[in-house]
Amino acid sequence: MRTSRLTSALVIFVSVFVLHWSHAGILDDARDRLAHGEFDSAATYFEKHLQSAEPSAAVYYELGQALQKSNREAEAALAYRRSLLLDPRFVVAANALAESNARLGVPSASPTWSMRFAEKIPFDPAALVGAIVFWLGSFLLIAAFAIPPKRTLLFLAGAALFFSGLGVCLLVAFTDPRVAGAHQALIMNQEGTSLYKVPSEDSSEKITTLNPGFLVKILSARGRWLHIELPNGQRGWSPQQGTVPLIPSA
Amino acid sequence: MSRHPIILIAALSWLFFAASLFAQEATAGLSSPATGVGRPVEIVVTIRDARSAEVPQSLDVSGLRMELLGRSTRFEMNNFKVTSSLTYTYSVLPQRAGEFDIPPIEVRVGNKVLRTNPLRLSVADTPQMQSPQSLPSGGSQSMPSPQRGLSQSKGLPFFGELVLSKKKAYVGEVIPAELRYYFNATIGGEVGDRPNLAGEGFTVQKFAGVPKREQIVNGENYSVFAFQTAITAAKSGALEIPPAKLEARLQLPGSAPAGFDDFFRQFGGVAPPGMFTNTQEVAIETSATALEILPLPKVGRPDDFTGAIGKFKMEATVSPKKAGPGDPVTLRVVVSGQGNFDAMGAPVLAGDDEWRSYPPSEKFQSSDAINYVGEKTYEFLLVARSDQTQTPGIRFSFFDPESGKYEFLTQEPLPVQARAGQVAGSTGESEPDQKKVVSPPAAETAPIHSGSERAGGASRWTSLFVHPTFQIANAALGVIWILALVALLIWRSSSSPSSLQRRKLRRLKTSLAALEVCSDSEFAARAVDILLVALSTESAPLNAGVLVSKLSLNDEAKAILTNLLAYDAESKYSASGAQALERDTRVRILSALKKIAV
Repeated sequence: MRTSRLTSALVIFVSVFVLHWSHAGILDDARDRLAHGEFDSAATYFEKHLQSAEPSAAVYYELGQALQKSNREAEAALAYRRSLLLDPRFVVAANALAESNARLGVPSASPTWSMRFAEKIPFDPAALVGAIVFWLGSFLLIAAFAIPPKRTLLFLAGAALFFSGLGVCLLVAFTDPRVAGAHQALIMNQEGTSLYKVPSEDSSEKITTLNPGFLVKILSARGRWLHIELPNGQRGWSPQQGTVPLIPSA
Repeated sequence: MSRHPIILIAALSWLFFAASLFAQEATAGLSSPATGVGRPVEIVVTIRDARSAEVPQSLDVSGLRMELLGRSTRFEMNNFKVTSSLTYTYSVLPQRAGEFDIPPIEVRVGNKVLRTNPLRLSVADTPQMQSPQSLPSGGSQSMPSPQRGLSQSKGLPFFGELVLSKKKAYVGEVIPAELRYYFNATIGGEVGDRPNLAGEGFTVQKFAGVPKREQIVNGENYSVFAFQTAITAAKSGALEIPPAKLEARLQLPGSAPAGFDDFFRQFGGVAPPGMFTNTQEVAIETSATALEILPLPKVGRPDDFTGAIGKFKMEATVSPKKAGPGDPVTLRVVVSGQGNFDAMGAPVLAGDDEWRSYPPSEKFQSSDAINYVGEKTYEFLLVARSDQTQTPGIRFSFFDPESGKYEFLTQEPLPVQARAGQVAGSTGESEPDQKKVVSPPAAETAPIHSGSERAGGASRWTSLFVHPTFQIANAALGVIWILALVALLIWRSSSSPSSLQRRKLRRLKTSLAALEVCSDSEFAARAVDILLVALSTESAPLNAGVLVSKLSLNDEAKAILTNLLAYDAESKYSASGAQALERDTRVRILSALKKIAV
């Protein structure tokens, strides 16, 4: 019985080690190729690594570098955006994206308060701290009723913690770019794509042409058409082909 | 024969009844909502279902001279449907620039006073800055007067006219134009969507229709269908704008079928005008117009001239005012005015060596229908190569066709605080060694940028709020919190004075019930226990006597309870013990206890 348990533990340990080693091996290979100017193959290795490993802002940034050097500007912009989605504070990726947008002729969005906030706060730790503070405040409020002699002190402290924690959680929920990014997509067609008033490729219904690298919000899908909204609020229909979701599907 | 007058009266009554179905109303409209100082426009007041009306000879608005030009009556009967209207036309001559609110015009129809809708007129200061919407009916030196040009139009049922803002222009200059098609007010019909104007040596902007208006030409009332456009000459020399055709299907006055004239003539009249019409397909043409096109002068052409021709203003802003290391700033330049916005290039940056910049994005916001007046916004994305306190300067060159000279606008550098940052992967001239730039970190979370910034961040595409572990932990805490709250409420409820009182009463009732059936030997001790509980003095039984005396009972009950206490003390402390209580005494004690316990 003891031998079988030992064997199971050993198998799990070896599996985890091999998995980690293989991921690290692909990543090292990708970085090595990037450093030696083999940009196309570096990009392929980075993509392969990201297919099986946890997403990482740094790796997406490096993928963007490789794609950019391979003159795949729109794909590079997508990689930079994904990098920033994971880490909005990643200044280097933000700069690279701004330059990439400029080369693609895509206007960079003016920074909003939520973007500024996102650049300063690590979301997941903030959400965790907010939740802890919220519950601490909640239990202190209960204690305030249970312990009459210190009721006022406990009530004030509990209310302060309760609302602080709640505020932090709400702020994080509203500003986390991954929440908004779940409905966003990037135009990836090399020649751009057209925006129509109705889901039909009738040139008389065409509103405008969207450059590759253009960020849109997906409202709904109908067949091979997407109902999208541009950053300026204009809405229309665009063919699904060549529109890539910002958050990759699992 | 005697039936004919009756039929005639019935027919006339029916006509008046049909006319009365249309409610009387007065409306007013401007031939153009905008114009320049000294350039007249017209106000047309239309009164429906009226044969005569009184209107003011002049209107009083400071800065505008408004006088009545004339009136016309329109009476139509098509397919036995009757419509009638009166039209009064006022000439409006602006004497100064500004926004003018023209109040409702009072129209007296019989005993009734009608009011038109108010109007608003924009008057530009300089005639050169006017919108092509305000192309007037006459007045400009460079424009042909329609009144003069249409002098031969007297009596024509329809005709066309091309109104150009100037007769002499430069290659590439945008010339606002308006194509006007006049139809005598007595004619009905349909007109095409847009005219057809094509030729060599020039390009034409998309046509923009303007609302149909009424105009009096040579004393006759015409409906005017106008289309605005802009013409741009592609080469220098004499340019002839060919006639522009507009197709229309018109209902021209026709003769009555045989027999109808006789029918009306026997009553001493004629068939009403418009009762009989012939439908005809016609193509109305404007007259050909010659233009003189000059080449842009080579003398004095700035090196940074990018083809802008017109009259422009320039404004610039920068945001944000403070940028962190490597953060881009946006220099927003707005070029506004009138000219060839479609063909002009962007302003140029001066002294931008210390900035990394890219071709700007462009956005044009037109203020008119032909993209002649508006503002074009250029956004330059700038990244500082070294720490900067001001943006580059901006210069914009253009050719002013009014003065015939090249002009330029400059914007001094704007204050900004931008810190230099190493931009990885950039393609600028000062790009560091590529291998160095893309040098990968040792691990995914290792520093990859100047050793000072860390690529940490999340390792999930979803927020922590939707992570199952986070949700389960919060749900567990929520359940615990609710349980704690429930426990607290129960505890507080059970320790409240009313709850204690209720429990005491329940206990006393139970004890009294047991007392009734207990043996004589236990009776006194149990009765005293009940008394002590009722008096809440179980811990100090010696106070019981005092408390009994303070009870709000009659003296007899107090005496029974006092005797009970004495009896209990005697039975406890006397060596021989107390005598057994009689049945009657037990009943009286029970009765007294019930009085204080319930």
